[in-house]
Amino acid sequence: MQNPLPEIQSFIDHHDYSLAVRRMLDTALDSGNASILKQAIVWSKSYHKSRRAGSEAALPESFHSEASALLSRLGKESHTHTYTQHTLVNADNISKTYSRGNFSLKPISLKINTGDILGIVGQNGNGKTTLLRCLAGQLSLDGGQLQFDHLTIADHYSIKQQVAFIPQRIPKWYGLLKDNLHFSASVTGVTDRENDSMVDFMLERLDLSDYADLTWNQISSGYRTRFELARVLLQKPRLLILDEPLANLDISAQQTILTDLRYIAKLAHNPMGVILSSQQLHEVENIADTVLFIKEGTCLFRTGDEAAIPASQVIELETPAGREAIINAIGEQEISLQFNGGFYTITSSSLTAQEIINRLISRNITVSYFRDITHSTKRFF
Amino acid sequence: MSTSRPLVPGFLNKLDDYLLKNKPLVWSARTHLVVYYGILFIAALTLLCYLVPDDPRNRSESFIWIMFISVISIIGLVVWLIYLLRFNVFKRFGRVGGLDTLTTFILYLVATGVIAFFPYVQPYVESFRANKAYGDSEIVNDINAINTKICELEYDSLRHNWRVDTVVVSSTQQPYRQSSEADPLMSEDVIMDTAIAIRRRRHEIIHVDELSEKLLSSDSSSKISDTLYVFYVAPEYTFLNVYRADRYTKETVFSNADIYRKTIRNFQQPDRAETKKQLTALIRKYSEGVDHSHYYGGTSGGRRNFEDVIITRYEITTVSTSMHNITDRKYALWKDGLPFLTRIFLYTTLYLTLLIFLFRHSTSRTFFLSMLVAFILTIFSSIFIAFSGEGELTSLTSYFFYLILFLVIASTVWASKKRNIVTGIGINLFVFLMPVFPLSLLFYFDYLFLRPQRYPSTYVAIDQVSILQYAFIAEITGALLLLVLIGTYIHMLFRRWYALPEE
Repeated sequence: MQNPLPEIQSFIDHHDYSLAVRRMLDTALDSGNASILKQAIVWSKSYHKSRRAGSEAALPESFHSEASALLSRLGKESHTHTYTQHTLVNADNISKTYSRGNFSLKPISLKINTGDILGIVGQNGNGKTTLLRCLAGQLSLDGGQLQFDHLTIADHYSIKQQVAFIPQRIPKWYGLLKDNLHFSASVTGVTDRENDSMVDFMLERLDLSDYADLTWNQISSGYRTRFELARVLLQKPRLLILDEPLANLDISAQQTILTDLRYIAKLAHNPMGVILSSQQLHEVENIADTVLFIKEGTCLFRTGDEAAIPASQVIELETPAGREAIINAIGEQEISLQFNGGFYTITSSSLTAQEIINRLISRNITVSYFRDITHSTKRFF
Repeated sequence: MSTSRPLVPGFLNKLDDYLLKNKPLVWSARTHLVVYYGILFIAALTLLCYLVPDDPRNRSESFIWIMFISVISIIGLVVWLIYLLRFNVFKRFGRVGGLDTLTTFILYLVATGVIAFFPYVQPYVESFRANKAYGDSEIVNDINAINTKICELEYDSLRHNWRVDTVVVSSTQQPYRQSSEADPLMSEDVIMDTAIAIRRRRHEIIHVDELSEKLLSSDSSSKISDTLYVFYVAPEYTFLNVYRADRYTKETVFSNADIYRKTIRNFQQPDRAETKKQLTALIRKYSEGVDHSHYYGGTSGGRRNFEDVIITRYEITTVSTSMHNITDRKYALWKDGLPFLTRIFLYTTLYLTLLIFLFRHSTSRTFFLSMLVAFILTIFSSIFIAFSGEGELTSLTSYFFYLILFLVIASTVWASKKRNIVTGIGINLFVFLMPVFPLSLLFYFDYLFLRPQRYPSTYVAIDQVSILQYAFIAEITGALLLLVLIGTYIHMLFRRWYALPEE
């Protein structure tokens, strides 16, 4: 991974403070220096305090001076911000059939490395959760093999110690949220001051400090997801599996969580693989290294598998213009057009996406949304 | 950590915070809080029991207290469970080794023990108050004084004739019986040195093994020949008898023969006024202001004999009841009943702890199904035992059968690739049956090999060395075995079973 300090400085210079704070925390954690981490946490708290006071646009001078001091200290650290990439899970033709019901997951093979993000998409009831639960070791397999290469003693308890699974419906927490976080850290051997530091870090990193002294019933479902993520991350899993983590989040929070996952997966402090399922295709495709599309228990497509992609271009289009106008603008012979009530899907074997939009613009057709989904799993929906 | 727990001092909050961040197993068991609140409650309850007006001469009200405090114990247990079930290191797949599992079990045991101890507080305070109000020797001395003074005052009215029993000692194995034949020494009344003895018209035949006991317990005896003895029984001089009054004292309650030797044999007329005054004071000590709803001892009713007249004249029934109540409070629970009470306490604590332990290491469904299976098997086994005709042997055989069966089922977890509910039930019930294994083995061995020697078909004196002494050792062994298994095999069974993938 490249040196993050210039990136953080750039975020600050361009007033992307939230991102700068999060990346500063990550870098401080990776430095392995408790003093720097503590300073970064204090700095993050001051930022969040200012933001709550409504003064983000005009942060106090101390914020910038503290940032410079932190960057300076981090610059003197000799760490490399890198980790060794190795295979975490190797699933070879795993399959599952429920004894009750008629659904079955057909043989699927996949591999997850440290730092990788694997997205699994597909419509409801097509086997995403079943696949995730199989990978998490929660469901027994009917066929194939699941290997956790990094475990020397791969008994089921050890596997579950290192594989964290966040279900779509998160079980209720009891007691103070902060106590739960301290507990999660301590059960994995993070004790004493390190426990305090890590909990404070996670609260700041996921912007949850204001809610730490509340209870489960006092927070929204979006925050519950974020607290569950914080809890799981404190247990330092090697593989993080999330089932529909974006379902309860607003658009802004979705983007934040996905970006965080991207960074957190590659933290040198605890690099991990991430597998997540979602209906938010574009967002997942933006951050995932590989995306699997599952339909009726079968993996129909995975990104990077160019052989499986048809030669034709597929465009998603939203416009107030009618079907006739679009066909006239592009040419009836060169495209096929489908309308699902909201979007037009244009498929063309002779035109590129660029040529299609050029033709539309040249005919003065208003385009409010345009997306090339040729390489996206969206084309299979 | 911010907490709003009532009555919790700063040091306990600090300890709680330390345990949360360093010893999650200990913290999640909440034993430190249970012990703290338990001590507070026991202290408050002790104070309350001490302040409540209570006369040791009255009948103990411990039963009502025990029922009431047991309800509070149950509530305490439920509150603890609510907090206990919030956090579980094992089900969170935290770092849990065999020793950690053992520690957890012991923590549960301590917490359950504190809660289960609540009902014992009032009887203990009651006993303490009774011991403080009446010394051990005081009761014995008062009984002796009352009996002696009654004999002095009523000397002229008492019957002073001794009873004579002629006994034939036999070496043949036959049960005790009274011969229908005439007494071989049958003659007129025997004139003893100082008293007249009335000879009975029948003689007894006893086994030679019984002779020593009879010699020890008799008031007086004489040997006529190797097979012929005469036993003398003193007349009735003890009008006040209190069960276990002298069980824990150096002083003993005078027997009829003692009173005879000390007072009657060389009888001298006392100062009647002074003696009566002293006797009245003693009687008032135990009868004044008491209101007994239940009496120990009393007159025979119907046609009244002279003893009944004395009992009524000197309020012996009231005095006897007061003394019984006092000795009950002093000794019944905390001395006589201690082994029984201790067992009730320990077994209640152990099995409640085991239930909690199993619930914490099992899924809810498996746990409740285990209880259901145990309940159904108990019913079927009871019916089977009832019809078998060999109740004890069938019970013990059933126990071993189930223990082995559940051990085999539990051990299939090593070959299983799925979390099977039957295996879970097997593990739970194996653990539940485990603690009494050595005890059951001892009773089984006793039933098959030792008992036939102690109770042969023909009569021999029963060996008083009880199997219960070995039972105590077996109980300790069972507890130790359980602890060792929890730290080793049981830990591995649960670890393996709970982490297996589900169907």
